[in-house]
Amino acid sequence: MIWPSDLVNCTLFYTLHDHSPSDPAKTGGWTIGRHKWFLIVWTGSFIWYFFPGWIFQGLSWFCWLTWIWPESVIVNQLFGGYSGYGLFPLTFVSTLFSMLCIPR
Amino acid sequence: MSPLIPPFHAIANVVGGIFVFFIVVSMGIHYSGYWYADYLPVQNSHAYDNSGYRYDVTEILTDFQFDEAKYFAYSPLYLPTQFALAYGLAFATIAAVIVHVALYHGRSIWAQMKMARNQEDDIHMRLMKKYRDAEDWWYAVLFVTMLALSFVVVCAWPTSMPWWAYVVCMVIPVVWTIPIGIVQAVTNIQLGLNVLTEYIVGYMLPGRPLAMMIFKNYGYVCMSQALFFAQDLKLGHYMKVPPRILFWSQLIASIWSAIVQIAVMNWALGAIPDICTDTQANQYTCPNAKVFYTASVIWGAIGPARMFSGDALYSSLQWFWLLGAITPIITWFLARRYPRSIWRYVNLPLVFGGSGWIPPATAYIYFCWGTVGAFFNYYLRRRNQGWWLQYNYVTSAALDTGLIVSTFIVFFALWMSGAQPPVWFGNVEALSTLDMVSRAVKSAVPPGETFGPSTWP
Repeated sequence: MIWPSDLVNCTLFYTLHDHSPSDPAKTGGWTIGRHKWFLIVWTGSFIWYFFPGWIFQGLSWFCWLTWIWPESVIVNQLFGGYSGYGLFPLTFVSTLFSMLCIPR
Repeated sequence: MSPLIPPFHAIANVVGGIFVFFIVVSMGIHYSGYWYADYLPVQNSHAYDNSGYRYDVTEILTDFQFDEAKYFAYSPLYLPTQFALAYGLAFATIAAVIVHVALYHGRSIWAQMKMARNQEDDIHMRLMKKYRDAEDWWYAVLFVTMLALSFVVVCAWPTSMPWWAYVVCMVIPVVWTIPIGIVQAVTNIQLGLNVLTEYIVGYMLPGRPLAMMIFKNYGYVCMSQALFFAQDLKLGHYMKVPPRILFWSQLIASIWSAIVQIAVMNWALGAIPDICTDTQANQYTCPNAKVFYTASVIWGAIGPARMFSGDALYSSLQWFWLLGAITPIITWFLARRYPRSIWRYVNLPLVFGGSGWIPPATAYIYFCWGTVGAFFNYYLRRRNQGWWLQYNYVTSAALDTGLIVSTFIVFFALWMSGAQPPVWFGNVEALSTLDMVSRAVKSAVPPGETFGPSTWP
């Protein structure tokens, strides 16, 4: 019994205390340290959300086929992600995934 | 939930289940017009009446109790296709998780129970033995205190819930915590008991929405929180936090968070304009609260008997109990007969129940989630395991924390300050398609007319 999400928290705690670079022999050639990588990805994620959160909200439910035919019932049923089947799954924001964990 | 965390076999089971049930089966039902699907959207979190509008629960309640005369005068309840199907899958999950865990893990559960604390310690346990353990009676006292408080809540306020219903309610987490916990500990996906609690209380105390919500919270959320609690204890174990400190920090944090939650909720209901409406500017549309509300109407006010018993519209969904109970036996035999085949990885509680957040989540969200998960936990993990070991989890943590901080800033600095987001296609037209407003419905009901039967159970 591993409880996978605990591994993420453990990794985060260790990363915040360990600023050493990585050994490229073990990481497929990357030398960047975990801490530095964390800061870069964190910053990228932070800046990126301003686009779907404010500038271009359509990036979340990126159902571009329904944008071409916004009044077509069948297109919206098949390719709409919000109330349809969502057959073209493409999104640019992971806030959507937060809907997958709240008790209802 | 980050798609970078669950192992690939868990993701594959969940997405496979969604494809089979929420695409193939659901399309068969929807496009054949079964369940009057022509008049309803494919999926969202609302219930509908027989004129194609959202079900207005105030029409059937008198003083928050179900009023049968009003119900017959108004309308039976219709659900979007995938919403109805989600109930069937919930039945299957509840049955499947018990059978699955008994077959696959029964022997090891029994062995562990017999050994109890006399097992050989692993490295974590040996290190933890340096600390003084939190006494068992601390937990016992906490349990008794909380049990007493719960009885006070149920009996002292006008909840319309008798005390014995609370006793029944406590049996549910006792039975299901271990099976669901085993699935969560392996796959990082927690199956829900919401429908089981709704089902039991709906037959037991029909026509009482408030009692139903209390029953559901105590029965289901108890199990859910118990497992998150166990997960946090395990985190403490991994990080070598002294058990006594862990106990007190969890207890104090729980009490504090209860106070903060109530305060924030009351603030939000007063301060955010149009909160919980579909047109709320920053999408504070309360999708989970809406599903909770719809569920309380279906199960608490109208009651499962009118929806799922006898010749009610959705009675065929009861077959899912049987489906969920039998299919794990088949996969278990196949996995034993062909131990090196793909059957080894088939986990039916996940196939049925991994989709438990639909609605309000949608198949689209799951497919996006599965695609990202498969990229990291299948493709990258095989192609460059060194990278995956070194960076996968820290990438997941960075993406999530960066996003959370960013949502706070965008919300408080931009939305709450009254600033207007740029008005252009990507913020207006992209959000007003038939899909986004849940109006992708084949046939509209003419004004003043209704669809479906003229009498209903």
